[in-house]
Amino acid sequence: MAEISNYKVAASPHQLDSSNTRKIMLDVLIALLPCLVCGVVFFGLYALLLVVICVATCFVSEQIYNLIRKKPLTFDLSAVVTGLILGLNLPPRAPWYIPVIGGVFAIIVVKMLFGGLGKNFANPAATARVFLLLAYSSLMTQYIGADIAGNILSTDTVTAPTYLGGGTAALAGEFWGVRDYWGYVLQLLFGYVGGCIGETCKVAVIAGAVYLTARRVIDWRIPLVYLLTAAVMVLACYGSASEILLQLLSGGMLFGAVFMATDYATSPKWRYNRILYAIGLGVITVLIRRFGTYPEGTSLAILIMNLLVPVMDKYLLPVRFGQTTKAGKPYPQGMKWSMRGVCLALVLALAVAVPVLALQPMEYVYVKSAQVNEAGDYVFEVEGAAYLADYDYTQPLAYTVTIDSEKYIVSEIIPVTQSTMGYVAELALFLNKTRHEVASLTGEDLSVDSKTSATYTNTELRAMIVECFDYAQRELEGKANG
Amino acid sequence: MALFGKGVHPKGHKARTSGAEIGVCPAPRAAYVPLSQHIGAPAVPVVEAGERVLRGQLLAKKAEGLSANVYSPIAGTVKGVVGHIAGGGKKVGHILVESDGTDESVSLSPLPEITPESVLARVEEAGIVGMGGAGFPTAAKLNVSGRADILVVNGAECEPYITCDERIMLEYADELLQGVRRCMLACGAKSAVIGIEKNKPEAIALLSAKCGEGISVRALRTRYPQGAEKQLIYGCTGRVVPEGKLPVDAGVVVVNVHTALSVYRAVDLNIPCYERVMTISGGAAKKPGNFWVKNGTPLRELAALCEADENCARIVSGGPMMGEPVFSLKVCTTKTSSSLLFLDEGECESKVASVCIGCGRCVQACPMGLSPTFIEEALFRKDYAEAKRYGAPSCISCGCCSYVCPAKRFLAQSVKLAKKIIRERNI
Repeated sequence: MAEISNYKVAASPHQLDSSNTRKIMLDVLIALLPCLVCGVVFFGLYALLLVVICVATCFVSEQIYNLIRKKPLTFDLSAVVTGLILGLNLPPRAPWYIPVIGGVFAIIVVKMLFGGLGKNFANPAATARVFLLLAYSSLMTQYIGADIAGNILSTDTVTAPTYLGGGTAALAGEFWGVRDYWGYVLQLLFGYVGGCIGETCKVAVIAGAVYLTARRVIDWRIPLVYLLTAAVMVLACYGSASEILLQLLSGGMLFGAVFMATDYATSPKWRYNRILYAIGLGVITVLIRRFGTYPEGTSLAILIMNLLVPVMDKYLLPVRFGQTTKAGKPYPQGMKWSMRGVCLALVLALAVAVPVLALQPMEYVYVKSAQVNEAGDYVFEVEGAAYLADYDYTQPLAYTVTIDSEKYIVSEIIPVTQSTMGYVAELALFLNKTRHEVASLTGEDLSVDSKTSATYTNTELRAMIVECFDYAQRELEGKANG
Repeated sequence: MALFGKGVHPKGHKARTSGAEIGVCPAPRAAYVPLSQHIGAPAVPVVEAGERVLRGQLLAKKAEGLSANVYSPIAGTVKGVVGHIAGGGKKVGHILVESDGTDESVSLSPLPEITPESVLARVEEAGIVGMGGAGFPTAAKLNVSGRADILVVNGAECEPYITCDERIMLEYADELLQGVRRCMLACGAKSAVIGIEKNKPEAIALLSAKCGEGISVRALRTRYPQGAEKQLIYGCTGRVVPEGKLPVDAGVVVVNVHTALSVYRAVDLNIPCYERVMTISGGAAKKPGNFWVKNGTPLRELAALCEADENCARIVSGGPMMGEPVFSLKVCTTKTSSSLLFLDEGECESKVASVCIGCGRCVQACPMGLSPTFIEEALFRKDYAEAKRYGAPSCISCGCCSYVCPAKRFLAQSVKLAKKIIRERNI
């Protein structure tokens, strides 16, 4: 028709949001940068090499797959994102082939074989990490301690335990002059601990999360509800309020919550499904950590919840505007109100339980009396008992423990009641040590004299001294300040 | 303030024309007046070729059922009923009137008394249709036999660029309010709520000051599609129109501010509906503005009026979210043409669809609570029952899903197609 001119026409809407797939992936890369920088600063250039190998493997294997399947090459950066996330999930001294195997597995097996971008049912990075953990258990759990700039050029593998694997003994007793608990929290927060390359520095992860939320790339509901649920679960499973921060800040939970649980293709589409998904993540992660054989449960939890996402998306649908039941009544907003209710209940549980647990007067088992002497040091009289299994005999124990209030170390231990048969505590083990050092003494350290049953006595004395420190910190210091 | 959730927030682009007083577009030399400017059957011509008509004289009478009268926008000679392309691309009947330059006019006979019946009859006689874009004959809409208690007046104007309703609210506030009262009388509503988006503070202030008893003004959040019927009703009254039902089932009648103004003109000034206010804007229009435009004006004359570049990136009739692209400037304006946009390269995107990355933004954005990405997936599988389960029949074609999609998929079109197939096959 002559009447039709040569104008360009297109379907409405004509005005579009400026975002696109590549910009989103670029945003995720930018958000991951702080984690990468911290990883390199703490664990050295070898860690950077691993990450680069992983990114390159992911990118190249995707293009090779495209070539084989005669598909156009893809430059949407999604493979780079997968590679970077997986790379940051590796231990800092893994051999070079670990990122190669992991990258190929993530891209080829998990992503491309299921149809590529957006079609994979499980998060490629999380699945590859679980795969590597199963296939190379020892290599994948070999962590080194963090050392700012000290690791830069080193490739040494001096394994160091993590908090999840070794408890507080894996952490330093003092960080930036902050002792014990808050010192642990601070070093976990700043990532001055052993762990995977990118997930140790929580400050960097939080910076990435803030950036992604501000750019509206990720839904804040997933990480927030995940951590909230995990906090309540820690409270329920460990029965301790102080454990919450340590658990939330250790391992890959925060990194997984921000970067892996929010993966588009493998998280639900409707906001209330996302809350349900995040609650499931929190529950499973803590259950694995507390009752499973693996110290870390984030990747596994993400993988398990990923499998439930299609079902959630299919059967838990948003209620349509004006939707009615067959009787003509407004359709009940079940998911909406139950999810809001659950979140409220979680917040309330935390808000009520944490202060209650924290304010509860501590029950002192050993400390019988405590006082401040003229030098300002704390003197405790402690009583306990060691059960000697070999002799089926309970040996009563009593000591006078003095803690130096300046240096905060054990300055003197005087036995009051102890074994008359020579099973006495090895006092030198405890003298001049801080609470952290005493608490970190392992069973091996304590069984100095295996011929005698002094080990039981030592173990009991350790518990006594730790309680003395706690007593001093909670009762005596508070009074001195007050 | 009751809000509908979700939706999107496109850039407004209203500043260029929101301050421009409504001008007058010169009458066309030859007006192609479409017989079908409304939803329903085309009107039946009552004039013959060669007949002289005056401005405001009846050209075509409403057909049986849902239809509306059509009046001559200019004085001149009828050249006959000709086939001419309309906005949708179809060749449909237009009455060609050639101007004789006299601009003689004729009015409707004054109403002897103002009663609900006489107002309804006058609205029907004047050929007034929904001027927000839907084109539903207003007489049929207002004739609810007392089932509605609230009249909602749509001044939201949530589409970017368009400012004609805003200018009407500012320049014809008294006339508009009189029209609202006439509509209330006709439909039997006890009160009226004028819903206006917050990005029009002057209009909100002016109408709040003038509205008087029985009429209130509601400031709505600036959010597309705030002006969509069901969302507007929810925002103004808190009522939810049940799926598959009409607003009147929730006791509400909705009219656009321009429709209300037309009602005032027909009832009090005895002017039938043959012209309307249009916004002509867009980056490629050098002199954008708001104009009174006679129905049947070829778009090319509007382009000349605004010194717009015909070869710009895209020409759109209506707003950028729901408007139709214009493929020819020979198309003529109708009672429902609210705007004509000449978009330049930076304002519209020629998109290429890529694979869905599953971000779920379409699900978050859909104001009706549908899952566009799953509807599209079901459509491609030809699983229409599944598409229906995800809510395809409730689509209001607002385009939010396509707007937010980072993979630039044609979600709105897919859902529209699924809806069409489900309706046709009665699944």
